[in-house]
Parts: sequence; C-alpha cells; structure tokens
Amino acid sequence: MAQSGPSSAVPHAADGKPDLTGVWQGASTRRGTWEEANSGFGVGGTGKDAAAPANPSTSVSTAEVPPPYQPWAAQKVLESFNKRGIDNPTALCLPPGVPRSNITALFPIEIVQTPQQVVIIYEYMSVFRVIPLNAKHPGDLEPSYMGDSVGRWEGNTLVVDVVGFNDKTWLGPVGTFHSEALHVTERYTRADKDRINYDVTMEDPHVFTKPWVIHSSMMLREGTRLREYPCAENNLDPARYEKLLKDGVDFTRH
Amino acid sequence: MISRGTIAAALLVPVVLCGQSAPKSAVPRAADGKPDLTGVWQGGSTRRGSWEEANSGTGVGGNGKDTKAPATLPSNSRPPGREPAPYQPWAAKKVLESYNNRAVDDPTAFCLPPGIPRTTIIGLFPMQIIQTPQQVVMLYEYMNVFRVIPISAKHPDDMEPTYMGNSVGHWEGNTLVVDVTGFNDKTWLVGTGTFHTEALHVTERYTRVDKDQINYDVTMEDPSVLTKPWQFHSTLMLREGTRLREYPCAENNLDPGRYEKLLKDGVNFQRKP
Repeated sequence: MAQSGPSSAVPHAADGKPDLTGVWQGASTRRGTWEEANSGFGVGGTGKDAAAPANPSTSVSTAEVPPPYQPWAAQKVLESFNKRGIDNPTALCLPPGVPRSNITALFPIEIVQTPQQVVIIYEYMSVFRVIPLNAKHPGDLEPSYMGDSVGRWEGNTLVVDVVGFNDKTWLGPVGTFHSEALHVTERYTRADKDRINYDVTMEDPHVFTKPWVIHSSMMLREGTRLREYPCAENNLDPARYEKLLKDGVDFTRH
Repeated sequence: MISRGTIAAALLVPVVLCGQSAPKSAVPRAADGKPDLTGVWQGGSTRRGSWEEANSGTGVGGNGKDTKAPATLPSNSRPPGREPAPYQPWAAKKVLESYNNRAVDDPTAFCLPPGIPRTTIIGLFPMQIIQTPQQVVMLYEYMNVFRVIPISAKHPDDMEPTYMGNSVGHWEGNTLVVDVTGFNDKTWLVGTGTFHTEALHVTERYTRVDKDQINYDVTMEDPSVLTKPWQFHSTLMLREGTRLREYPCAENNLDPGRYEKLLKDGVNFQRKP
C-alpha cells in the first residue's frame, strides 16, 4: 500500500538530540508529500483519490476521550457548537492558541531546532512560538493568545511547558474555551523520519474536572514551504456572521 | 572587568569616556564558522545597551527618562541620513500625495504585513534572528510576521506575489546576503507612501561587526518607479534580555474606522508649506 513505505531512522542534530527540524502537517497520520497525503475528500483534500480516507473535520474532536468539561462548561461548549462556530476567534484573525495551532491539519507547520531554542512557525494565522530550552518562564508574563513556552529534553522527547494564556482561544474543536489558568504540556517525540508523536495534556481546573490528554501526530511534508496568510486582507467573515445573526438564521443543529 | 590601567599599559589604547563607546566585543561565531546573527535586535537604532537604556530619549518609542539622550527619530526618518528615494517624477508626486494625507492609506493600519525593508527599520519593536547552517529565520514582533531564508537555495518556480516577498540567502565572506523577490505591490518600502510594484527586487546585506551591532545595508531596485537603485545603510543593535511579545493587530483595530470617519468628515490633512 502506498502509505506504508518503510520507516526511516530518526535524524539527529549535531548535539545528539532527535532533530525536529522540518515542515510538518498536524493531525494527520498519512505519509508522503502534501499532495499525496491529502488526496481524499473533506476540507483540505484534493479529492483525487476516492479510495483515500477523508480528512478529519476540524470542528469535532477526534480525541479518544472527549474534553472533561464541568457540566456548566460543557453546556457552554455545546451552545457554541450549535451556533456553528460563528463565535470562532479565528474568524476575527486572532491567533488560534495552543494546542489548536498544532492540530489544525489544513496548513503546514515549520519547526527549526537549535541547541538553545526551538522555533515553531505556523502558516495558519501566521503565528510563531520561540521555545527557549532549559529556561524559566519570565517573571513578567502578560496573558497572550499563544502563551509562553519553555522546553527541555527528556530522553528523546521534547517537553514543552506552556502557561500565561489569555482566555480568548479555543483548545481545538468548536467552542472548546478555557480560562487564563490553562496549563498545557506538549510532548514531541520523533518516532521515525516521517512522524512526530504529539501528545498534549491540558489542565484547567476552572473548566475541567480533570486533565484532558490527547494523542496526535505531525507528519513530515518534504517539498512543502510555508506561504503567507494575511488574514486581515479582505476578511469577510465578521460582516457575514453579523448579517446572518441579524437576519435571524437558525444555526441550531437539530 | 579588566582595569583600564592594564589595557593602557599593554596596548597604549586611549581611554574613551563617552558612555556609548564601551569596549567592543568580538563577533560570536556559529559552529560552522560563520558569524552568528542569532539574537534579538532593534532596527533603526545606533545605540548600544538594553532596550530600556538605548531608548531612553524622547520621541515615539523613547521612554523619556533621559532628556540628554538623543530623541528617537520618527519612523519616516529611519535610518538617519538616508538618501532621498530616487522616484520617477510621476511616482514622486504619488508619494507626496500619500505623505500629505498623513498616511491615512498606510497598509499597516489594516494589519497587513509591512514588507521589506520597512519591517526591519521601523525600529519600534524587536526582531529575532535564529541562524542555522541550512536556513536563517527572522521573526518580527511588529505585525507578528516571519521570514524563512534558506541558505544557498534558489527561488521557487511557483511564487505567488506576497507582502514579505520570497527570500534566499548566501554567505559572502562574513556577510549574509539575502535576495528578495516575488513581492506584491501592497507595501511601502520605508517611509510614508513609498510604494513600489511587483518588479521590486531587494538585496539585504547583514554584517555583524561586533557583539552589539549588525550593519544592515539594503539595495532596492524597481525600474517601474525608481530612476536607479535606492540604497541605504542602517544598523541592527543587540538587545539582550528582550524577548518578542505578541502583536495581535486584529484585536480591536480602531484605525480603519477612525480613518474612514476622518475622511468622511472632510478633515483637511494637507501639510502647509
């Protein structure tokens, strides 16, 4: 089967650590170029291969365990979901936050690794993160969309600790809001040449009953480079959503 | 710190008293021997020190704590002393119209990427360079834009016009030379109204001359609007202890509405001679 080519060894950086450098696609399990791996149907698929699996929807969680929201919070998430994501912060060109930026499969992610820091650049909404290694969070954090990240190696896994979030992003699927207490722990483990296992723990005692753990993967996309994403250029969503709301369109899923 | 007496005796170097002329340090080198441009930098500045120290004068971006420090130049005058833009007469007129309109048509008022070299020399926000042997990444706090500059690569065949253009780099001795093409025509080069076409070709030269300073020399070519290449020489100054913050321009951007109202109210922007 074209998708199960032999796996190659993990490249290592000069300092001996697994090298995460490369251009990747989040929330995918398929190997190959971008075109090859996105040949099925669904948003982001080219539709050229009817036999290929459809790309998963970004609206719903594909996690094994649904987010463990407290009952009042779960209610709020459902309201947003039933409003078809009309209150999506990214409709306003705002940064998507973490881990949402990593698990949106529609646009590539570039990682550049050095011994002192790892930089992650996202084509989606054109955001970036600088992750200093073996550093402490600064004493003067102001709440931000992407949070503040520090990283360290645990064996072959890059562990990234993220705090200092504002409360204006979604964790991933539609309506998955959180508070400023959000604490995200990411684990990046390059399993072979083509694949990084991306495991995330999200803690937020204000909205969750317990930590939410998801397992995802990022797949190498050789030959892909990041393009521009000037979201503010002719952004029609806000006006369109406003009109829909004014016209009293019923979004509720029945 | 080494005592000045020792230095004077050993090297007969005159002691410099001005606060700005602290002894210069050697250029850090990367593992592959190249000068290392990695760090957080401030463009459009010539002053050494931390961000707070180097921006202590008055003017936009200065904290005003030191009235004796030079005032920060307005962004239209960065870098200081640059030659006037060699626009063709019809184009120069267009630039002046924009200038007289008080930059109400500034693309960055719409949160659009500022382009090259404007993003670098506006100087009000830090930029960060991360250098590896294969590529150099530049991150800009201003408008939260980034550039990935592959080393010793060709421009791709399938470039679409972009705000920040497409960059490829190579080393010429101690200088990183970056070639940028593939621009759209929606940015300003430097100051108010300095428009260009998709024919724009920018060549940047980054030379780290000591620990604190990168010489940033730029040539802009656009035969559609300029009479000849336009050059300037500027500097990027190291800002240790500074980290890039977020810049979510789209969050509560009041400029477009405000400018629209000013224009509708018929406010006269014209600068009187």
